[in-house]
Amino acid sequence: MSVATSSYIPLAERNLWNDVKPIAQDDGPNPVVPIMYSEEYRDAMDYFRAIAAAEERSERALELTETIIRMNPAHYTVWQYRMTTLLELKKDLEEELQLMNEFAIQNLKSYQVWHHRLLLLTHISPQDPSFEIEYIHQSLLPDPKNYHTWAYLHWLYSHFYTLGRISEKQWQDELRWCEEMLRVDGRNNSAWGWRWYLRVARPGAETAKDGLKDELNYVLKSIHLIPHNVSAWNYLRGLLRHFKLPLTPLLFAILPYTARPSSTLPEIPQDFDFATPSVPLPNDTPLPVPLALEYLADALIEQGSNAEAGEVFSELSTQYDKMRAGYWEYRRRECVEE
Amino acid sequence: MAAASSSSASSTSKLDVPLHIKYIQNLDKRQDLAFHLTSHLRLNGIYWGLTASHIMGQPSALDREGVIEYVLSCWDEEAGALGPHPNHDGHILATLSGIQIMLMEDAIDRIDVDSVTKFLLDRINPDGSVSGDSWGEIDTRFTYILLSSLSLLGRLDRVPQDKREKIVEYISRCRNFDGGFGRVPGAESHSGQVWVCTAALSILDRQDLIDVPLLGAWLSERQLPNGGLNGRPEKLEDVCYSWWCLASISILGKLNWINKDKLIHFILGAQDLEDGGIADRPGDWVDVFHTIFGVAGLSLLGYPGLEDIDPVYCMPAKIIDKVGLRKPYATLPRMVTYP
Repeated sequence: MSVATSSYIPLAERNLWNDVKPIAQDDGPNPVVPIMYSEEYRDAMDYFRAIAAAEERSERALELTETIIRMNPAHYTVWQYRMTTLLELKKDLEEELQLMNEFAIQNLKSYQVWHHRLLLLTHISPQDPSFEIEYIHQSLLPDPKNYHTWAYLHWLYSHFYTLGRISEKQWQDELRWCEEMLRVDGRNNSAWGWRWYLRVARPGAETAKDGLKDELNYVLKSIHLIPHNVSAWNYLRGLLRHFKLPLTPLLFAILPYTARPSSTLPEIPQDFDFATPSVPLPNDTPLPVPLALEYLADALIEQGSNAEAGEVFSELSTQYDKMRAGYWEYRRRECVEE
Repeated sequence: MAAASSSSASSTSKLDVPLHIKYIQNLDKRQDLAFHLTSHLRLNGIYWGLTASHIMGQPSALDREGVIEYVLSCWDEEAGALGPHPNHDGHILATLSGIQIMLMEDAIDRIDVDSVTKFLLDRINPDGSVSGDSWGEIDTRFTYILLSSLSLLGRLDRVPQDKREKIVEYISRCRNFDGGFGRVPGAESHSGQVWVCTAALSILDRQDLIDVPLLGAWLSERQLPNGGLNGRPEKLEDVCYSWWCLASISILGKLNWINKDKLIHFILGAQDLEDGGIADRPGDWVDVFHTIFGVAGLSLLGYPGLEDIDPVYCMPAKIIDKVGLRKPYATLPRMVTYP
């Protein structure tokens, strides 16, 4: 990594900074980790130290913080100083938000960029945060699993919901958007986590009352599209656990993935009204699907057939998911010792 | 050489301890921009390097006086905390690293424990969440750091009972449908956040709030066919998850739910056998962050010649045992040779 400095004019040579005496880096008495700086960064930090010591909150201070965080977006101290300066100068925070949008385009990422954004939205406190929600949706397109972004989206909704500014329609729109994300990539674990929030965990979530069947069908259909999708299986098991539902009633939807000989597979009854696997299964589906076998084993335990469940765990341990033999052995022993 | 170099291990490699010690000792001789741009991590970097040195059996690899002076120079008098580098604001992240370093250097008495205690206690929010500093960022990482810092200082009892309960409640709210934990309530389960939450609950003696089989299964599912561990479903493996996942599963008492040989092979393959250090995965550039977590993971797996590491505190087990802070966790027997 190199920084071109040939055209850089040191701050000491700029009229604007005439009156400031820069404070040089003090690495401590016997630096174990002396820092070598590029001229520009060192210069900016020397002046920042002087400004901060004098607690100067001015336009030039603001500009200086921007210069520094463009070079080093993780510098906590400088971000904090920027925020307090913005507030003291009563700057237009929506303009600052635009600047942050620009930062994002230039790929200046850090925890601090996100926290700064959170503070800005808190201060701006718009009556309708849709513009920001839309912005976050857009920013997820090139980076659909960014943990910061999803956590921020969660904060946005929680915060503005508490202020009474999220309508029922917005929740519905958000669900549609989440479904679109999962349509694009059914394996996006972050999107599944968001769906859980929208459908189960958020204040006012409706699934418990009358949406359970739809929710189960949604996740079953996802499994049928991508049978090895861990996120979808976790979601299914999460639903059953959370709502205290038995596994057995859904078995018909799962059995085709267990690679049992077709002669032993029961026929799917006419009145089975949950989504069933495609016939034939999607082309690239290696069988059996380990999580389907786990489902089967857990259903067998539910039915009191512990010995049979133990055999399924044994197959997982020795043949179908050997990497996790330790876990499957534990499950098998549990069955046998019951 | 100054620039980061790429890992080059073959499938039959062993852990080259002398080389990695040299790598750690040479960290401060780097001259590049990347090094100074990470000044906000400097104190953390020393903690990573020092802990790795301890685990590799060379506690004196770094100059003790130099390290102590440096820690003290990071003191932020106004905040009553340590910053990551001189003239950086005090922050909870740097404060823990400073405490850990001073404990390892047997110089904890040189820290203003009263001021640090006050700084830490002030980070607890009414809803039981914990902020990193007065700026207000919230993250379960900070929850763990608060508890770890206070307990290492012997001041955990300064947390009032009602706040302690709030903290426990907040962590519970961060538990997800898959048994894992996220950064804030509702945030996706992530191996790093899983570790800080399980370790935090362990420090508070509230491991009962963990669904062990469910979380253990989720953690074991992090292991990919190449033996490495990832942070969440459908993401790439990374050596640092050898720590976050492994330490978590050790706290749960289920270390054997991870395939030991495959993980050892993966970590060893991420070494740079020319210039030292460990990378996030074989073929990538090394750094001290992945070096400590690779070595720590190997230690938990019983790799020969390494010292024991405590999975709750990510510090030498000897030191944690000596100060009486050891919590229940599983270990694998230390092997004599490997393979």
